[in-house]
Amino acid sequence: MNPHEQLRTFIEAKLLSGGQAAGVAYGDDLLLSGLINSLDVMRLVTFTAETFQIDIPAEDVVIENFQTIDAIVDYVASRQ
Amino acid sequence: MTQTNTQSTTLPLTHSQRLMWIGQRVHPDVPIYNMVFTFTFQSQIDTEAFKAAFAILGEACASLRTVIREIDGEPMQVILPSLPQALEIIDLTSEVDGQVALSRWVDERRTRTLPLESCLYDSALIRVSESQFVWYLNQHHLITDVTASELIYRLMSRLYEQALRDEPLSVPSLPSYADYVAHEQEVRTGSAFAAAKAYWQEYLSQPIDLVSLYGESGSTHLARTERTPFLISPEQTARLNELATQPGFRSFTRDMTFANLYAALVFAYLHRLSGNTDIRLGIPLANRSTPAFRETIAMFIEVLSLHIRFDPDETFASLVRKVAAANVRTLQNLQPGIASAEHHHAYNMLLNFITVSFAPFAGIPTRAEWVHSGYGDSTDSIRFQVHDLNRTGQTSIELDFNTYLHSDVERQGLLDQFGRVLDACLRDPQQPIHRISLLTDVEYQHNIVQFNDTRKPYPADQTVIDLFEAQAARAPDATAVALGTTTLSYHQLKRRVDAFMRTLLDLGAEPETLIPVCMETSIEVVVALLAILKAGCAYIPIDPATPAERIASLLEDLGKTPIAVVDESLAGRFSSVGCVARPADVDDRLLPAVNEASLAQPSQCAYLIFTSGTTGKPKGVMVQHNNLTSYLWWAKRMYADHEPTTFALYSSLAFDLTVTSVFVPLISGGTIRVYPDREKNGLLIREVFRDNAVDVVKLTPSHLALVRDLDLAQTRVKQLIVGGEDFKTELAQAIHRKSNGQIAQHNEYGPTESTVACMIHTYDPRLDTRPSVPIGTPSDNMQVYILDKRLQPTPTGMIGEMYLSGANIARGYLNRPELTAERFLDDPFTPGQRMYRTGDLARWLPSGHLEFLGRNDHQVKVGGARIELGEVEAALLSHHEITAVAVDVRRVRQAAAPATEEALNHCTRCGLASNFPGITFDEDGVCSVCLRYDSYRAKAQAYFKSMDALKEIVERIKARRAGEYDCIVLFSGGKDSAFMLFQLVEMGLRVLSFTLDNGYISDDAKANIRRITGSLGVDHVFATTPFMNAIFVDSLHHFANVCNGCFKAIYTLAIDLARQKGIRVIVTGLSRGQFFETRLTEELFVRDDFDIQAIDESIARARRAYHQRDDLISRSLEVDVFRDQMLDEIEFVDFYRYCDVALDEMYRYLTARGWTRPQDTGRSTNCLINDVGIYVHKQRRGFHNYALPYSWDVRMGHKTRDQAIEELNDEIDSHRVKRILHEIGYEDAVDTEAGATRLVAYYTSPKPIPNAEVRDHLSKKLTNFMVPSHFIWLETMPLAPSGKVNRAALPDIDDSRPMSGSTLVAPSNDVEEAIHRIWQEVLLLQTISIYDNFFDLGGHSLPAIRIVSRINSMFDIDMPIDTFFAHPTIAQLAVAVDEILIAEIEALSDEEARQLLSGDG
Repeated sequence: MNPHEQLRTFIEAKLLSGGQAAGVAYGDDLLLSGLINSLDVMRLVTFTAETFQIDIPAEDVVIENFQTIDAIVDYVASRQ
Repeated sequence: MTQTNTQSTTLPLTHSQRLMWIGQRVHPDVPIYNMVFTFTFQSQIDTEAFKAAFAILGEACASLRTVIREIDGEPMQVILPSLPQALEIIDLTSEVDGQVALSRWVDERRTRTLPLESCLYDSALIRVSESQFVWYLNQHHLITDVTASELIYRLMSRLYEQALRDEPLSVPSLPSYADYVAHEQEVRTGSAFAAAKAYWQEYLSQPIDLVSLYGESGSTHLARTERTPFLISPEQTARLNELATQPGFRSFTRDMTFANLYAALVFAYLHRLSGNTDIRLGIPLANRSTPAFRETIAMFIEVLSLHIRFDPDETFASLVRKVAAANVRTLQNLQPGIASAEHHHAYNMLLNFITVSFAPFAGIPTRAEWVHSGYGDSTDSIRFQVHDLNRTGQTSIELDFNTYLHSDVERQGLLDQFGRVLDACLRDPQQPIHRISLLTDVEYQHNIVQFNDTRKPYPADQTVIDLFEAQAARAPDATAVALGTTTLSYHQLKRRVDAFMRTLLDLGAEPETLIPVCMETSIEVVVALLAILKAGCAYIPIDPATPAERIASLLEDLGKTPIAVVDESLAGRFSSVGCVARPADVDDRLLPAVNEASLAQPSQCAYLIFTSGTTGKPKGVMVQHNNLTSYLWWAKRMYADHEPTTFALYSSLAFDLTVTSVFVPLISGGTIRVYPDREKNGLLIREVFRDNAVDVVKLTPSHLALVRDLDLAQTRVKQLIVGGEDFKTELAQAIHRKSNGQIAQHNEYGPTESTVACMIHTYDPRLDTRPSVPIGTPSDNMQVYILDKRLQPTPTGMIGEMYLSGANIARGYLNRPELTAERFLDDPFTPGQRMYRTGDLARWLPSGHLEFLGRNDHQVKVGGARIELGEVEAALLSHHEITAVAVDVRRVRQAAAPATEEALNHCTRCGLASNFPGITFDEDGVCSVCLRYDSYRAKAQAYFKSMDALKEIVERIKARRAGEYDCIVLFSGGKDSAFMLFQLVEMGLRVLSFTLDNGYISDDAKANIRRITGSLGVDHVFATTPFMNAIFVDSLHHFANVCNGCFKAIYTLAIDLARQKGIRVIVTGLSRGQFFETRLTEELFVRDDFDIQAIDESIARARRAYHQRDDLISRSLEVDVFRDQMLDEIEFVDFYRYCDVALDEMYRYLTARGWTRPQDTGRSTNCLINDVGIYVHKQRRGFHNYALPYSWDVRMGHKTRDQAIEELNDEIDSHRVKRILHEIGYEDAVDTEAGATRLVAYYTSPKPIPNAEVRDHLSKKLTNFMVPSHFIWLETMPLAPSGKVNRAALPDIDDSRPMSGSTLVAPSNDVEEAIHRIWQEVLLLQTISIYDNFFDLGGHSLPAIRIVSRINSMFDIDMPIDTFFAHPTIAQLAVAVDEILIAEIEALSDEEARQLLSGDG
């Protein structure tokens, strides 16, 4: 699975419960939807760090790096 | 209908609930955790439907049915089968004003405490009018959080709608809190929890200062808080919303964005006001981590904190980024049950940011309001409440101020300043926070502009010489200077000056030549000073009392010194100087009639005065002529403007306070009256007043204190100029009374660097009521600022440093360019002017006056508390016998502990080590305690009784049975008390088992306690007290251990409990070894008239006297039981006086009944703080505090010698000990070589006052931590030549007389000497003053018994122990003994007396 897919699977399975799970596009704003709360963001950060084996300093946990799946993949690339 | 459960179910508490439960137990009668909501419906409500809905709500919602009960000693949540309390219906429609009635009702109701064990909510529907109803819902935080409240509200809304529609109401099924409880228990064993725990441990291992605002102490144990709204403007809200969308400010969610912004605002505010660069802010977080938990109606809060370290130029923008990252770190380490009591103490400010949506209720417009209960956690100084409850977009901001820490007036100031910081941050997020102005325009105008509007014309181009000569020309024959009957007119003086100036010039004096002057106070010295100045040179006054070496080093600092003006007798000390001279004491008619022109220039240095620097190296302050003229012109206007005035010249020239006395008269046509210091006894000032020939005296408060006993009713003195030290109001009052208000007392303030003085206040007996006389307002052409560390003006209330600016500011320090640059800065308010940084603290009072707070270093921290020395001094001085005081912080030398490295000998029998004080060994290596025991062993055995005797007692107790319990059993959980408990229950007693949870009881021990009381079906009480840490600290100070304090707390609380429950017997499980340690002393047995009943009585009396003593424990536990008859009514039964059981048998018995040895402590204790006591005792006293009791265990056959020695050699983890010492607030490093810091009071009074009396006096005026621990009586206060208290000469103290003080007074007669020796031996202390209080030396009932026994046998008298407690010093005791002896002699017949006296009786 490529990084985009890994992230999408995690988000759909773990963060978006119930009926909203279908079809998150790579460019969709994950946060504007209001479906993800702050604790979910932390789970996403932890998942990203563990899956791609990178260290994510707290200072990098900003909206610019985690707004979309595309943004996360870019950020991961910059840290690898 | 739905089926109803009839069974209660139970559930353990979550970790957070447990913390809250403990918090509530600490404040049992205070509603700190009441979460009170009112929902106002602007509509008719169908009361019946509402009631029906509420009933179903209660069925659905387990949290409303939850109460907390202790089961087997463990708090459990018990879910009741039905609601414990129905919804109340309140009708206020008949009230005249419904709204007023409503708020009165809510106000009364919100503070009701909710009984933990029976009902944790209180709810009512209030009909205010036909169209307005209010639903009142108060829930204990233990069962709810804001999200839960929102869920309840929504559910209630739905149920009400259904009820209205007459639909059958079904009970919805809700997720259960039990799932979260299980989840928490599961998580706690996982790796994520371990990682988070490690993270927080590391985080908390960095201790930081709590935030102190306006200099308050930052913490308290009082929980009253006042909620004060902060009105945020629509513009500010709009600006905040705008920032929230900007990159760098915007976070993942709207809530997170605003949480970051508000936290950053609070941080900026706290930083700006406190100056702290490391700040922690508590934040409650709802740990609802899954969709199901989000829907659970219960409490999910973990309170953690954010830690921000400020950079020097931190901006709001950079701060927001830091806060966001800190928030991320916190959330990443948020785990169920991760909050801790330790974390709770790591901050004292808290932000509660809440957004919820209380939507319209059943379609009715609703306004939700969170009502403050009036109380909050006492550890929080301010709780910032930021709430958006109604999703109106307009967030409310309220500050809950702890009212103990923040007075009404201060709260308003703090709120205003919060507004200024908020406004500035939002307006310009890029500006450095330290630049934000905290002052309102009005404050700026007042503090900076008007206060300093002091411009007045003065002859800036003239020198003091010009001004003097103008006087000499105007009135040449007026008397310029007088000594006794000798006088010099202005004309004569001028001639002498000119003549000596010529001498100086002939000797090579040049402009600004520095000329040391070392002369006794005399007419000639006046001539010398004027001549030096007129020659364009500068004088350096050196006190004749200065030691030769110091003179040599001063001269060395000066470099090449061509001339010095020196008295003949002192000339030897100036051998390194080119030449010495002295004005001749000759008839001026013999002098050549030269008329020299003055060479003095305004910009030249006029004098140089050495002041002692804080670093110890003296600094030479260079004062120019223009500085001097500025001061003198103003002083002349103040003190000598109207008529020729005579000033006394008596004080040393080496201090600039004397400048006033020399020059002010000479430029105003007055007279200097000279008082040479012939006696050199420090009492010259009394001669000045007795002579009664001057109008003005300049002096220090210490000098003034020396004349307060003189009759000043007829004095000629009209004005006192008081300077150099803090001037206490009490002293001013005394002088005012003595002089019938005839003397004006001017308080002058100013360091040498500001040329004598630059501020003044004339004492006003009506208005000046604070401890110190104010220092007033700036003198002419001077400016005074209070600035923070970044040179920003401080607003009202905030403590800052005083800076002085203007015409008096000296040139700088001789040869110290760096120091000069550091202390003399550019004045930011008046370009071109220099300002001097004083190091003195001050603040603006709301009244607009400046409050002087003393030297930076006079505000001290002792045991973590900030203390203003001046305040303590003022309180001391108000004692009617005390005449002068000085309070200082001293490092206490630790009483030397014997070297521990030396190999120890152990008694061959009991194992007692050779480092035990006073011990000796015989040739077989048997210790003196064992040997003496041999001599009274049989008697001692007789003290013990049999189990049959105990059974008799038990039967007697049963026979007079009343109430629920027969006795309280002190149950520590250890083997001895466990065994005892089993036995007593078996004997049929109805016992109430009692344990003091001192915060350090090990989990294993607690498990034992619960298991045993549970299996026995015995009721059990875990008592706690919030003062435990203070008790530990007190115990460590007094006894160098923790156990004494703990024991007394146990007895105190147990007696209190007995009183509440009407129980008359308390059973203790003291072991036989402990008997000998705490009760039975050899003195009791060696008496000839050995009598067990007498022993019992003396023990009982000693115990009563000890418990009745008013000390920290009885005060802080607020238990007054000892004053009534309680102690007499309660019977103490010591179980092991009757029961003798072998250790093995005891273990076998206990193991069979489920008792296990704690694995989580050292081997012989239940208590995790025990090591701390051992550690401190070893450090301070040099031996193990268990050495003696263990040796008794061996003697009693309850331990072997090897076991005892081995246990005493257990390693102690010093890191753990230090952590606990820090935790309990015993911060004085016991292990530093320098010793611990203590507040020490020195005082003078006609005779020493008992410490207890001084302490009582102070405790009425000061908070506890401000009362000094040592009091030292001095015959005279040591004064430096400057007339100030010579702090360096105050005697040092050491800790061999803990909590004691007064100078060491040795015994002065035989009786005192004998008693003194007994005290030394019994208290194991070498240094004891005859005025030391027995209790201050760590005495308690046992040593009291021992001392009385020894005194009685030595003097062959029969002094009761009560007499001892009534006379607890050696001096008093000696008098008491004398009286007894005299009474006995008087009772003799004449014949007997004659025989006695003649020596053949």
